[in-house]
Amino acid sequence: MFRIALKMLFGDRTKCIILLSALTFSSLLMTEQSAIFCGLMRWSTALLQNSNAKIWVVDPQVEQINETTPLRDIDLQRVRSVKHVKWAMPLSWTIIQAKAKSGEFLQIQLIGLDSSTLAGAPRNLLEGSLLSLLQPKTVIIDQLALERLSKRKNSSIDLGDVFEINDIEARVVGVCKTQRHFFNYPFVYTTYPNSLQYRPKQRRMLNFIIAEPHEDISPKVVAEQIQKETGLKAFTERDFFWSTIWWVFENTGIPIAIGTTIILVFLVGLCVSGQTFYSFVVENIAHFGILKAMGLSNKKLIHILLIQAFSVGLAGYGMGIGLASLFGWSVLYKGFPPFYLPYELLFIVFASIVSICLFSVLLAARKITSYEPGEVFKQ
Amino acid sequence: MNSQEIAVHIEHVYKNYTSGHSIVHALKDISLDIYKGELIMVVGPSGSGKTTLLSLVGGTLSFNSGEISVFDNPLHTMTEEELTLFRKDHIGFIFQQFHLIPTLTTAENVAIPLLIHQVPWEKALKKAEETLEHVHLFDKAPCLPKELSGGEQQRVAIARALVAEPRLIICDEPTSNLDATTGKKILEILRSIANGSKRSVIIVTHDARILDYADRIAEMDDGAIKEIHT
Repeated sequence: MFRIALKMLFGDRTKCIILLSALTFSSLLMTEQSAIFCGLMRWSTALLQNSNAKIWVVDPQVEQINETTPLRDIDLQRVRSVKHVKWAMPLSWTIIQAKAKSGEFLQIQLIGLDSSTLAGAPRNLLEGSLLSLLQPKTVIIDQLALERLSKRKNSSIDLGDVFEINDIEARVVGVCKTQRHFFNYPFVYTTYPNSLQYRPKQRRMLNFIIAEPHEDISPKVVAEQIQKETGLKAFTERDFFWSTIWWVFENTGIPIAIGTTIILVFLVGLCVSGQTFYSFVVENIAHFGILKAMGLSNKKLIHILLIQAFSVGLAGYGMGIGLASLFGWSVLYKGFPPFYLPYELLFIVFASIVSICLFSVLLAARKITSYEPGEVFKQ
Repeated sequence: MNSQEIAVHIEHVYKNYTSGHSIVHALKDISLDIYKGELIMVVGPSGSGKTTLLSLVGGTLSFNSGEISVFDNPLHTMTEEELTLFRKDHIGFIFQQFHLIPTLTTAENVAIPLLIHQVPWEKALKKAEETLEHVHLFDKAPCLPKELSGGEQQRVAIARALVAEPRLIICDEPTSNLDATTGKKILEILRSIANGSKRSVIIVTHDARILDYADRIAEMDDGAIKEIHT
């Protein structure tokens, strides 16, 4: 009966196209909106992803990585003194204005790395050398900075070129690839002492202490130990990630805005698919009735409905994911808007499409199971 | 009539409908025996209960009291699942509106009862084509129902009713949408089914032109069998 079920559905081209479109667009929009949301969440934790550190120590008031209260310099020594801490290094982060060769101003995120170890340096260096950062007034810029500093014609910037940060010259010694940040400002890396030169003076200049536990000791245990002994807040990389994500959930309208869209898309998909499938069954009720009269059980009829709903559901899901991936590929190429499609999202969207199909089958099954085969004689 | 063996035994059957607050007595104390190899026609005015009787014998409708046995299967004791199995194994249906599935080819429509019996697709289609040959429509096997005339569609419906070799064929107004010549051809096929294979055929009809083909005619009025003509 598998082929009969499919031929019944695909033979009704109008209904089939409406169903397929509803499921494709539901799948596409749910995937695309969720991927944009995941992309935004990745952007909001870009600092974490760009700096490879297992433990992050911050002021006790800090809840998320993009809003820091500076620490005292002595805190670095206090963290280093905690048992099982293999190393602890300073990391500064600030948003500051830079002046391109063309005279144009732009906002950058300046990261100051420990000058002896360069701990927290970008993971993916495309050009130049990290060690060149040890020279005075040198920086490594990311691709976004490269693009923005080279925005004007005849002002493209290259290794060895100079621009200004807070009226102090900065020579480019490397280009790296970074995770783009929520603020959409490019990252510029220098050493911690250099960053103190570039930044306007403040009483406290140390934003983060990054640390690593000894081998065989869990970062979680060491983070708890740091908190206990120093009174500072210490996160593992994972905990800081989720703390930041939850902060975004609780303090911004982004999850509500995108979540509402996703829920509405789901509901529209549910209604359109359910209604279309139901009307397909109602229009074909005599044919289902004949099958019933000829001895097809309610259970088998529900199998037929499931085959019909899931075949169109799977096709719609596949097409939706395909279109969303195409969209993702095009935006990743441009780098904007944020887009991140983890495999878990594919399962969630699949589950949503399955629930839409099941809802449609449920609606239609009620109609079919309550239909008396004897009614066929009245049709 | 080929035999006096009873195929369908109907005894004191009552069927009531509720319509709003009133009760409609659709069938009142119906008793009738239908024999193997017999072609019986049920006639009567609209609302006399012909189709209701047909539905009860076909196991597609429940009744309030009485007994109906079809090939010794007591329908009055069967559950819905058992009735479904019973219809699958014993009954072939032919409807006034043909009720062919428009998106399936002629052969696929005919193959449906076999597919319900879980016969593999290719085998079912082959058997469907053979059955179509019996109703002289082998060449129409790949056509869609909309490409066939009314008479051809009804012959396809007959092939569909016959393909799983049921022992009882139930026909609801099989000729009412057809012209006289086509109607006659359809009745000849149904007559030969009853004669040739000891199948019983029950036909509900308004069509006086086909009454000559019946072994017996049960005349109904107001939910009761008024008279049986031989």
